[in-house]
Amino acid sequence: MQERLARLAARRGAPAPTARTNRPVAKTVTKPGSKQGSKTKRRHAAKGSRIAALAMSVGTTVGLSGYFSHLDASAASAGSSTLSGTATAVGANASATNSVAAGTASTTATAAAAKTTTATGTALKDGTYAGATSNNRWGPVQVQIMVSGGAIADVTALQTPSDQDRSVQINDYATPILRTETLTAQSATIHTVSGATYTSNSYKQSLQSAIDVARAATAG
Amino acid sequence: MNQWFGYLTRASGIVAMVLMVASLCWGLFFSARETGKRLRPAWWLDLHNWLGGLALVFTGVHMFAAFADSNLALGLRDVLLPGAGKRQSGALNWGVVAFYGLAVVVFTSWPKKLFKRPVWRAVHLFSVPATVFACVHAYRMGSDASTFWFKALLVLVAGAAAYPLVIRVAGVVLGRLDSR
Repeated sequence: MQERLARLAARRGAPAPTARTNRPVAKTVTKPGSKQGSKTKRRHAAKGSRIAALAMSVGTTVGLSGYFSHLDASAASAGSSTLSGTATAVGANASATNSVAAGTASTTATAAAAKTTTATGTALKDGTYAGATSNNRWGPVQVQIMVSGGAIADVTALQTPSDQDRSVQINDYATPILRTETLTAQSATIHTVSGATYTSNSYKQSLQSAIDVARAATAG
Repeated sequence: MNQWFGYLTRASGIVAMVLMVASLCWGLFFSARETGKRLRPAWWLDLHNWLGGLALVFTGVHMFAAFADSNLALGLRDVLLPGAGKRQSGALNWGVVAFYGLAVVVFTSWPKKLFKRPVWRAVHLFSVPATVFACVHAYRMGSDASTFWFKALLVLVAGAAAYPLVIRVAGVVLGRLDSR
């Protein structure tokens, strides 16, 4: 073995290695026109494995991202949550009905009511409306809206999945985002929160049922 | 686009965790001299270094994507300073601490000659708790932590890391007993 190494080293013009080294080998590469040995190029012992590891890591990251996207898309299109129970008007106040047309709302409420008019077609009757409970694989979600000045003034999640710590964590960050989106959009047409797809879909379903009750109360 | 940052956060986090465990395994097998006859020790060391560097890169991608995902609403302080951000989540802090542990290990490995061997070895041992912290962070914070496949993956990587760790620790203990 040592003879073979010595022969190989002699052929390369370098001293023979005395023992197996644990370090990546430094290979001397001479450039034309430069002094011999002035440039060294590091030769990696696991070059092929390095490339394979990099390719697998990038491929897995891209593949998993696509898989998560596919999961979210299929969960959204398949309607992964089901509604149960009925949406109810908790505290509808018939006498407090307000709208932009009446011109009595404050500036903030007017802007919100204008959005309601855009999103739903009509200003809603003031009051509190609880949506139906939407059950998904992680648990029930129920939303309650408070309508004031003809617009959705507040949204409260009455029920969210809480069986697992992870569900609580997800809801802690997803619910405020969904609430803000609802108040901005003044409808149930809001974005799904990444990582909280099931909760988002159930939230939207329950929210839509609460808005439907508010509309029915407005019409009736 | 924002959705994709969320998917990238999840995917790169999982890959970074697996790379950390793989790098730890390679390092433990190498230091325990359990590299077998088929592959040279240099191959194990080279791949160990590479996997550690890759783990750091993917952790960086994971942190950037988490910061860029507006749904997560993480600030720079949340991402970079454990316990200092507005999201006082223990699960998040485990991940930030794991990142610093990994960064220290990787950046002290390249200019290895600058450190005395015992110092370098002590710093390098941070990789073990850093990997454990990363796994705890993934389990407590990961969006997929409750799925069966993620739990199976976690058990698999924990088992894969435990085997060389036991070999390494046993080697050290038996070596000391022999020297007495």
